[in-house]
Amino acid sequence: MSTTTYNVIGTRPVRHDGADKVTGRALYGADLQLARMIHGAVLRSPHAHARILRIDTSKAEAFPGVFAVVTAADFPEAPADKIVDFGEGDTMLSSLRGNILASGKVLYSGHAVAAVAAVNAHVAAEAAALIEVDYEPLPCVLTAPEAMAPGAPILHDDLPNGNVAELIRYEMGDLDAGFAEATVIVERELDTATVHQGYIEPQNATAFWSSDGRIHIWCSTQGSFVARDASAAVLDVPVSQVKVTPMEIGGGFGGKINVYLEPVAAMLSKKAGRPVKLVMSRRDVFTGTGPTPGSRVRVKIGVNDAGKITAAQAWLAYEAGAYPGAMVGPGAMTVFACYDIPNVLIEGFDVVVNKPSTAAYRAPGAPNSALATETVLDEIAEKLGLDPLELRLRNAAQEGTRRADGPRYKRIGCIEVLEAMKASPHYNAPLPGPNCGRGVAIGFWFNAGLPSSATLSVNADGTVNLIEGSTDIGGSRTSLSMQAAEVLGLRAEDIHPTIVDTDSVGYTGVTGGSRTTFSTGLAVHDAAQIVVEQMKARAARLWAVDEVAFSNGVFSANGQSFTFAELAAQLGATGGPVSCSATVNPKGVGGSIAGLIIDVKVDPETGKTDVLRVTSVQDAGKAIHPAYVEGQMQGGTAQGIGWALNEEYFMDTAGDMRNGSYLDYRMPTALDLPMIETIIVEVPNPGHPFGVRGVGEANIVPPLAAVANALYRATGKRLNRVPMNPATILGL
Amino acid sequence: MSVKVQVQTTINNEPVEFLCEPRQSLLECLRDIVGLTGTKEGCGDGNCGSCTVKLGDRIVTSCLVLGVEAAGESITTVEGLAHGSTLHPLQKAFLDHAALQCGICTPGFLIAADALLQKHPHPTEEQTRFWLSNNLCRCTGYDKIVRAVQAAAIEINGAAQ
Amino acid sequence: MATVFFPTLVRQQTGGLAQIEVPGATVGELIIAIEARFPGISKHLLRPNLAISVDDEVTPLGVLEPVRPDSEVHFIAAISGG
Ligand code: FES
Ligand code: FES
Repeated sequence: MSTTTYNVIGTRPVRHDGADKVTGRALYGADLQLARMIHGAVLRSPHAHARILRIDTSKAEAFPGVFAVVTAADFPEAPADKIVDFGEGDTMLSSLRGNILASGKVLYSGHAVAAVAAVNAHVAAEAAALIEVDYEPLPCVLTAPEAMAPGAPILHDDLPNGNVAELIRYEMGDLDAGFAEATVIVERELDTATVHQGYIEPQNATAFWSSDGRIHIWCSTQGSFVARDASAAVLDVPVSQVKVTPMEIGGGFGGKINVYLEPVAAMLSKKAGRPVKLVMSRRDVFTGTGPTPGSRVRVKIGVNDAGKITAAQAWLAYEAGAYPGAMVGPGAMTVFACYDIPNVLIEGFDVVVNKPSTAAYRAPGAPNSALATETVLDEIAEKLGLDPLELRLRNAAQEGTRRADGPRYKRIGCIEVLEAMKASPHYNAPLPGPNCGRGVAIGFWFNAGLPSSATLSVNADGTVNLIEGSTDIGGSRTSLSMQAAEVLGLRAEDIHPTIVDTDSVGYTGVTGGSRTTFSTGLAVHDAAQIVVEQMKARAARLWAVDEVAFSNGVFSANGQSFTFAELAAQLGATGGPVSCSATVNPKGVGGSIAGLIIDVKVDPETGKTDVLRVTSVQDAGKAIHPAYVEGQMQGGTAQGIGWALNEEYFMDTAGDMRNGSYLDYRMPTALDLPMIETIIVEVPNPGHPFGVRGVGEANIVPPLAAVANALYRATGKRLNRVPMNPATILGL
Repeated sequence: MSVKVQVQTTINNEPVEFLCEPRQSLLECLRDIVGLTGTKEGCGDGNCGSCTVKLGDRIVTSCLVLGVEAAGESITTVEGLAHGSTLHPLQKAFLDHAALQCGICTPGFLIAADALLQKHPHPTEEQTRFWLSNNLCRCTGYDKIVRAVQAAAIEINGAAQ
Repeated sequence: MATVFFPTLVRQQTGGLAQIEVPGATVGELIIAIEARFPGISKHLLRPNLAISVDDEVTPLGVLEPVRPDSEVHFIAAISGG
């Protein structure tokens, strides 16, 4: 556990962008106003699968107030096999471009077909409705098992295995021998529905294609450089021709990594010669952006008398939506990742279906597979008469444990998280009464590294400006500033962070993969160390000494000393300003384990579930700003509970989403949840100077299974479908 | 394009006049015409609460109110909560309790919570959750928002008797 | 000699062989050595959706990553996250 003491790290300063965000001054994407700006609307397919026979835009073009109309025909052709490397995982350019505006076929209801720019959004919407599209409807297929069945409608002619875009297979040890050693074997199959990240701010993008060929895009994105690179690829222009200014972002959770509107706004602007703003409606967000995959997962686990898992097998089929990329890889890699299991077979299938192309959602792929593993283990613990946490402790992965996909763990906090759960007040409290149940589960997420950049400039008043490129979705300006302050011996408030556009800072990957505090934090740390070295050199010059010491913000040599601020005031005379940059592309990523304890009460008449008490536990490595670490844990937990109990894309047989509003796609409200207790575990990541692992994602992995296990204790029923809503609970 | 209507109203204690189309929502008028973009749009159909403003003495989702309905009314938006450069106690409590992550829901929560504290100076957790249940937050799980509102209640109205 | 583990689905190219010890100072050199033994295999290992793990860490350097004689090299699904 963490023992180092810090001055700034671990404290809870007010976030730097706080005043702007509570007074309404912070500018989110849709808040942007530019001179001569016009507004767009996107026409979307009403069919889940259809051939486009004809698009006639003439009426829309002639509509008063319309400046431009675009369809896929306005975009450059995508070479069939061109792959775009975003440094985050790669995408086929044809999929990216095909999803932005359909050509040839529409592959889901909500698929964008054309877009209009007009004097205002109302006129644009009216004009879009005048675009005539002739469709030849085709049969659609909506779930992975159906899409894998012989005779299923085929989405893409160029996939080698029908609708299966990718196979994953991991094997370790001897599966049959492992199951032969087991005394208890349980096998279950569970389905999860398609769910959405549900960020409150809809996607938006404003673009201006200047007459000199430069394209400026303002948008809400988790990664300005990824948005730049993807937009440039779709528009077939060099990346240097595109500048992305990241606006404040109203939530993302993985869903604001992909581009949807940016290239369309740019193309409209090129035609119109004016800046064009596109903002999605809530229904557009549900039907036109990436939700997270629905899935079917089968898990079989064998355990011996000593409570040791001897073998485990998993079969996973994930719905990619319209284009390949269902995150079944991480689903397969995480399905047994919390445990040390000698004999394993995992098979995964990435399956295209006629639903929106899926996107990442907090630990993408992992909740679906953990649901199966963690409910099967619960059942095994019951059969063995073992405490469910004890069964997990006997099998917990630790340093050196080999995962089925090959690599061995460095130091991880699985045992520490389980011990913290076991020792928690919640786990040791009695349940309040009948129809109540308590469930537990744990989950793992890798977290990510990827490139990040930062520049620190020392001001003459002893403060420091921080220039960075990680969009701030939940307090990262502050968690980064705190790392600079810790190195420089300053207060968090002495650092002034600014997030700048892609022309103004070195390449920085997405705010995603739980990586910002780790990776951009490392860039900030490294830049701060260079600042210290340069400042030492200045002090050495002033004092005419060779060696200067620096600790707790004080430079000293031979009994002389300067505070950071005192020395900062003298930089001009000692060689000029100090401004230092660092760019990292680190190894040393530390995975995070999270656990959940949840108490529920089920009304046996109505099947309604009330959540009574929740405790979220997570290994942060080191919590830089504990309040925002707790916030990540609470937010991921709330999303996981919504996923478990309520949320789902309700599609009719024609593939149309029937609940594409917040009224019908019901996310948890304040009334649906209790306080969410948190226990931050700190097993430092040896790969980061302060031990940071990253906390954005693992917390959403346990809730599905923890809720399922709690519902079992409350009702005696093992449910095999998420959401576990009243209908599922009552078996209707 | 339809004929525009002149609307005279009071926003954040200042007289404001604007021209809008009859079909434009109050939310659109505030954001796109008056330039007060602190009020946010999350859904446009009354179900997220991001666009919550005070209209007269009640709170409304401004996406469901027409701009022309604001004529002669008095409106408070998030931009009107602070006194000059001094934050409203609710704003301060939201910062102290880390009650925002992305912050897109925050303006709506602040306006709704302000109305709550005027009606219930010392709301229970249950009352707070009930009152705020028309405001969606996807980031926080509500825990820190509820705590911030209750802390602000004590700050404004003193400890409950 | 570093040990290279073949992904399960690539073992069709190796006649079922799961791992191999080959000489080389970088991942790239290991792959050249493997390619010599199993012609055509490198295109199955160097794919955009596979990340390279050396000594249990995904390496941003890819084929340029140095390896030691006792290194383990795996090819695993590339992941970024949400
Ligand atoms: S935008 Fe008005 S309630 Fe959502
Ligand atoms: S803070 Fe992001 S929606 Fe509430």
